[in-house]
Amino acid sequence: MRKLVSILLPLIGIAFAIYWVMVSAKKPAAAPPLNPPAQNTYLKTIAGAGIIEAAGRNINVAPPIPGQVTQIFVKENDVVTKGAKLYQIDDREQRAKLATAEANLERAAAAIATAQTEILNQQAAEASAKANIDALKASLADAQQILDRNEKLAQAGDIPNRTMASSVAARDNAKARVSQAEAQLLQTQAQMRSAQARLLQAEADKKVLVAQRNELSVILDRLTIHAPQDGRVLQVNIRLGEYVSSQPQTPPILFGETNFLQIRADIDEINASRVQPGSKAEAQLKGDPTKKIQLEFVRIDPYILPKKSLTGDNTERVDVRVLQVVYRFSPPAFPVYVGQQVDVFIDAGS
Amino acid sequence: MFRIGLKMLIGDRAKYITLVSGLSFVVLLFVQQGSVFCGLMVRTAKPVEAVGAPIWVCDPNLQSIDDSKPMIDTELGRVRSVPGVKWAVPLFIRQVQVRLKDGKFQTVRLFGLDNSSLIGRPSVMLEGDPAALNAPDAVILGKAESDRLGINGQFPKIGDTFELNDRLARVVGIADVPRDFLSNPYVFTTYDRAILYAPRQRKQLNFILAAPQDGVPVEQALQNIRKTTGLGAFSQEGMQWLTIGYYMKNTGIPINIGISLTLVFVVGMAIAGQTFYAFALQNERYFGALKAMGTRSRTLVGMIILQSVTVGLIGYGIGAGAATFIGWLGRNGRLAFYTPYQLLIISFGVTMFICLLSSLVSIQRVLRLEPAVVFRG
Repeated sequence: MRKLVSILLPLIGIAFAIYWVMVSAKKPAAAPPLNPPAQNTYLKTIAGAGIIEAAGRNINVAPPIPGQVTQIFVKENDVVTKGAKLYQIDDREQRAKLATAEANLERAAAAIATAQTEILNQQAAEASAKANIDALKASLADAQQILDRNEKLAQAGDIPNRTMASSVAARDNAKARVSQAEAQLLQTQAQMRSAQARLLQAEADKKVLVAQRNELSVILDRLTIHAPQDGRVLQVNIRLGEYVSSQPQTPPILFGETNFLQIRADIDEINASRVQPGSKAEAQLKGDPTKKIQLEFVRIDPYILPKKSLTGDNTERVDVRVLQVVYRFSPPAFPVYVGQQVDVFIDAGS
Repeated sequence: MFRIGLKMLIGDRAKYITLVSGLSFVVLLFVQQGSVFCGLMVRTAKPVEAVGAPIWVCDPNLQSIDDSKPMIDTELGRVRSVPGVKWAVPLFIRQVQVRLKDGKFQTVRLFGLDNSSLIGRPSVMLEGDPAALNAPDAVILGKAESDRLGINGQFPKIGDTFELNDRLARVVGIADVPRDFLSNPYVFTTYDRAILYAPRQRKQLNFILAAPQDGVPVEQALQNIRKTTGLGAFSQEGMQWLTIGYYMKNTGIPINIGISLTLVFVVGMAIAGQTFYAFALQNERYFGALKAMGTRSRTLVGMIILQSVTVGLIGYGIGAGAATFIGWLGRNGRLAFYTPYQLLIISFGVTMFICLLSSLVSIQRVLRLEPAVVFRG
C-alpha cells in the first residue's frame, strides 16, 4: 500500500505538472485583420498619406465684399458652367446708390438739354440782332441820303437851315442806333459762348455721373457671385440670412472640377529626394485597400510645406515638413469623393 | 541489495514520511516561487501578447511596452516605404483615467487600433462583435480586471458608459484578455478615437505594427526598418523580452524572489540533510551488519544514493504536482503563476542536487563505519 502510494502519488504529480506546463505554454493566436491593411504593391516604394481633391484644386468661392446672403442659386452636387450664379449678397444699399446715380444722370441730361436750348435761343437772338443792324444800317443810309440831298438844297438855299439841322440829327441818330445794335450783337455772341461753355460742362458732368453709375453697377454685379469655371458644387456652407466675410474660415461654397480628380500625397521630407518625377503610383482607399486606383503623375510641388496634421487640432505645432506630389485619375468604377483620405504608394524603382 | 536499501527506506514509516514530505515541501516552494516569478515577469509582457503582431516599431529609446515615447505621424509612411514591409498600421497604447458613473476614477490601459483593419484587436470575444468598434463612442473592454470599471465591483455589460477625457465611451463588446503586471483593465478602441480619449500631447503615434513581406524573414525586415528609419524595431518576442528585461532591471522582483529561492534551497538542504543524517544514524546498525557480512563500500554508497534519489523523485513528483495544482486553482484569479518547462527541469536538478549533497553526510559516515559497531550496545 505504502509502495503503491509512493509510486502513484509522484506520478500523478509529475503528470499534472506536465499538463499544467503545456496548458500555460499555450498562447492565443493573434486575431486576423478585420479588413486587410493597406499593402505595398511595388518592389520598392515610397508611402504617403493622400487626400483626393478636384482637378486643379478645390476652389473656395468667397465673396469680394462681405455681407448677408440673400439668395443661394445652387445646391451640393450641382454641375454648373462658367459664369453661372452661385449666390447673392445683400445688395439693397448698392441698388439705392445706383438709383441715386441714375437720377443724377437724368438731371445731368436735363441740364444738357437746357444748355442746348439756350444756345438755340442765343442763336435766334444773334440772328435777330444782325437783322436789326441791317435794318438800322438801311435807315442810316437813308438818313445819309436825305442829309446829302438837303446839303445841296441848302447850298442852293432852297431849304431852311432848320430842316438841314434836323436831317443831320436824323442821320446821327441812325448812326447811334446802328452802334447800339452792333453792341447788342456782341452781347448776344458773348451770351452764346457762355451757353456753349455751360453745355460742355453739363456734358462733362454727365460723363462723370455715367462713370459713377457704371462703378456702382459693377459693385452691384460683384455682389452676385458667379462660378469661376465649369465644375461641380462640392460644398454649400452658407444659409440664407448668414453673414459672410470676405475671408471666411470655412468656404461658403466649395467648388471644383470633378471629371478628373487629383490626389495630393504628403511625403515625409526625409523621403523627398527619393521621389522621381513621373513615377507610377497607386492609391488605396483608407479603410478598404482592396479598392485600388492607378494614378497618373501630374507634378511635384516645388515647395516643401509644413504637414497639416490630420487630427484636426489646429493648435498642434508642426514638427515635420512634407513634399506634396500631385497625381490625377479619372473617377473609378467604385465611388470616391473629394476630400477622401487615401494611402498612396509611389513606385521607387528597383 | 538495492531492494534491501529501499525496504530500509520505506520500513521506517515516520522517517520516510518526514523525508518525503520535507522534500516535497521544498520542491513545492521552489516550483511555486519560481512560477510566481515567471508569472510576474511574463505578465509584464502580456500587453504585447494581447495585441499580437509580427513587427513592432517604436522610438529607439523605448524601454518597455508600458513606456510611451510617441513618434511623428509621417513615420508611418516611412515604415511603409521600407523594403520588405508588407503593411504597417498605427497603434496607440497609453494608461489613461476613466471617470466612472459614480464619480470614481480608474486607470485603464487604452489601446487605439488602426481604424479599419483593427489589427491588434483581442482575438477572443466573449460578447459582442469587434466590427461594432466602427460605431461612434464604441469601446471594447477586456474582461479581466474590468470589475473595477463597474459599480460596486460588478462587471460592466454591453451598453454601459463611462467618461474618458470628458468624452463618452460606450461598451460594445467584452473580450478575453490576459492580466498584466499593472493590473489595469484593458480598453480597446479605434486609433482616431483613442487620441481623443487620451489627454492631449503633441505627438501621438507611439507604436507602429508591421508585417514582413511574404518570403522575407522577420529579422531581415527588422534590420531594414532600423537601418532606413532609425527607429526601434522588434519582433513580438523581442518586444516581450525588452519589457521583461526592463522590469527585471528596474524592479525588486528578481532580488526578492531570488532571496526566497535561496532560502528555499538552504532550508531544503537543512531539512533533507538533517533527516538523512538522522536516518543514517538510525540505520547505522544495518549498514554495519551489511558491512560485517562483507558488502563492499561501493554497494553501500550505491544503496544510500538510491535511497536519496528515490526520496528525491517521490518528493519532486509530489511537490511539483502540488505546486502546479496551486497554479491551476488560481488560473482564473489574480494569481500570477506561470510554469515554463525549464523551471520543472531546473527544480528537478536542484532537488537531485539537494538529495545527493545531503546524502554525502551519510555516505561519509557509512564509509568510516566499523563493522564492529553492530556488536556494541
